[in-house]
Amino acid sequence: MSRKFRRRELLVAGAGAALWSLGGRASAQDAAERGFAVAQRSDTSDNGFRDNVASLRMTLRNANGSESQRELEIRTLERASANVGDKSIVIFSAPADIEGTALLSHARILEPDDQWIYLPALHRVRRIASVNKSGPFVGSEFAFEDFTAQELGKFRYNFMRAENLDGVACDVIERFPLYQHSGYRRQIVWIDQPTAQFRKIDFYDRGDRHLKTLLLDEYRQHGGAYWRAGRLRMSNHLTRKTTTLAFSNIRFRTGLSEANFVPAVLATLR
Amino acid sequence: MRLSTLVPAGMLALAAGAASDACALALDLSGSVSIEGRAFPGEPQFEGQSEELQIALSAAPELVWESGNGLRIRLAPFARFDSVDDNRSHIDLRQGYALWRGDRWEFSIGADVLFWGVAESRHLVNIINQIDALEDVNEEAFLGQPMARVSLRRGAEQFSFIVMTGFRERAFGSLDGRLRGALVISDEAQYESEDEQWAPDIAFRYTISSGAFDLGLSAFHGTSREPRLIGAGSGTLTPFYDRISQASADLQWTKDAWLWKLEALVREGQGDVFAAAVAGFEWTSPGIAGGVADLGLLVEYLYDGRGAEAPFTALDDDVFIGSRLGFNDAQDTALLAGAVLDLEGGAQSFRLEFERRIGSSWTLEIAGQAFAHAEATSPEAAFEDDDFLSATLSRHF
Repeated sequence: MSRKFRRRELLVAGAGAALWSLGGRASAQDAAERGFAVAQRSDTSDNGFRDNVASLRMTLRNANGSESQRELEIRTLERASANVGDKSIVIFSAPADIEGTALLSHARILEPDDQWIYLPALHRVRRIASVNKSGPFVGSEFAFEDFTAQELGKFRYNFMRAENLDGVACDVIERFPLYQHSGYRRQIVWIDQPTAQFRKIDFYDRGDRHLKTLLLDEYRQHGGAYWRAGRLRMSNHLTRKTTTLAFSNIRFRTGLSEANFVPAVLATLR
Repeated sequence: MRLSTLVPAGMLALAAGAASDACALALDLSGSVSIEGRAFPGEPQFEGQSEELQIALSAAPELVWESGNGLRIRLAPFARFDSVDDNRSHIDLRQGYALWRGDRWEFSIGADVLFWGVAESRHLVNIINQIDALEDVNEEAFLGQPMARVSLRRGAEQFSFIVMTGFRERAFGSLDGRLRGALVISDEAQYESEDEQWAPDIAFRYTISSGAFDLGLSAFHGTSREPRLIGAGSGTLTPFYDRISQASADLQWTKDAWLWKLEALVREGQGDVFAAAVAGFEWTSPGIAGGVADLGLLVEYLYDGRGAEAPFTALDDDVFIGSRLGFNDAQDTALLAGAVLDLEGGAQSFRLEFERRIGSSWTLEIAGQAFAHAEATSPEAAFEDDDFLSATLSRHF
């Protein structure tokens, strides 16, 4: 970004190139605004969901094809304002040795999230450091930052193009993480035009290598309003490992409130 | 069979009766069975101590009923059979309670385990439950304590009031067992209160999470979980349980990759009033070994100002240094190392732990502990020849 900026200043210095430069800046600004608009439409399509509970089966597959599975429940409470993220609790039920382990997150936009973990063997709730959002989530190919809410304010945007993906018209945008400890330099996101939902994300690491691809499908609309993917498939191109998430029993507006998302509730969830 | 197994049983029967009216009653059975082998390479220091490989079988099933309307019943008994140490073979009801709850309140009655505190090297402010001292020397297993508890919540604040009776005595190793002192400890405990284990205990705890801070304030009045050992002249030690009053605070400040921790208490009732504290930090690296594994480093300083009339503690002026390497792999492999160094007497204790899941329902845990440089006349010298290596294979269901 800084290199691009310096070049533009040089151009501005040359009077003859001034108009061209303004034109270039305007189109870059257009692309940023258009990219933001596409992301915003997707973001606001979820407004008013209040709370959401879903069961999740996570299948981890390594390069040799051997598999292991985790089963968990995710409870999400919609953010109180645009300045904070959603609150969530993840409760594990399998593998059996981590049954009852629960993770509470109060997501924030550009700061580390507040996170507490409950360890049933010790009957103990621990506040944990969450600065390393790029670390893997329970040994999967999903990083914590892929898993937490995709808040609009966490990225800077750029519109790239419109194209069909599996026969669906999509807007393709590029987004750059603003969180300084993100594991990514950028992500390319395919958002379908009819429903404004994410269909595919290419993740580029800090060295701009194409690290992972996420495919989202089996979308269903719940309560006549909210779209949720039934299946997410993350492939790591460096390790050749994959993680598949299969959602079931998705429910909205179950009556959860702020009081259900405090550390004190973690000990008696299971 | 100890009393805690009997008291809640009646309560649970009552609660189960109430529950039968409730709508959909969900039942969940889980838990684990384990086999542990523990080897002591050194010659025993005291007459009667075993040189055999110590084998222990244990079972920890958990049964939870949940009604749709806020009632929850949990039964979590624990049983261990030990090949060497008779005192290590026992049955306990770790949890056996009925809990009623709303969004902002909870009421429970029965045996439960409550954990308070933030430090890793010593659970200083954690006072509700008796330590299962024979499970391991790391003081992280607890006996169920019969209690009635009310908790009220307001935002990120919680107030809890706890009334207890049916005190649980600390268990000590038998003549055959390793990791004991020179003198055998009597099973017949003595109490300051004439009501003995029936003297009621009360506790209050307030917790708040605010921004980067997690604070807990606690008060306790009742029977000390730590006994004094009296009557050394007679050749047998007798545990003596004083009545104490204690106030404590535990605080954690979480900032980026750093956790700053403090636990402190003031206690009255065991000789002069004394204070004790644990303070330190935990730092987690932002991804090593290709960004996948994470390494945690811990340093804690331990102080305890108690006098000779209080139960002995080795952790009066010590430093703990530890590290945890989490591989973040599909098998949740982790390696832990820790050392406690006594700054005055020079005694040292080292521990190494490895844990890993095997397949989807087994786990293997290997632990090694070594003791060194205790002064010959100090109580720490009792464990000097009891370095051990243990392996535990567990089947979870």
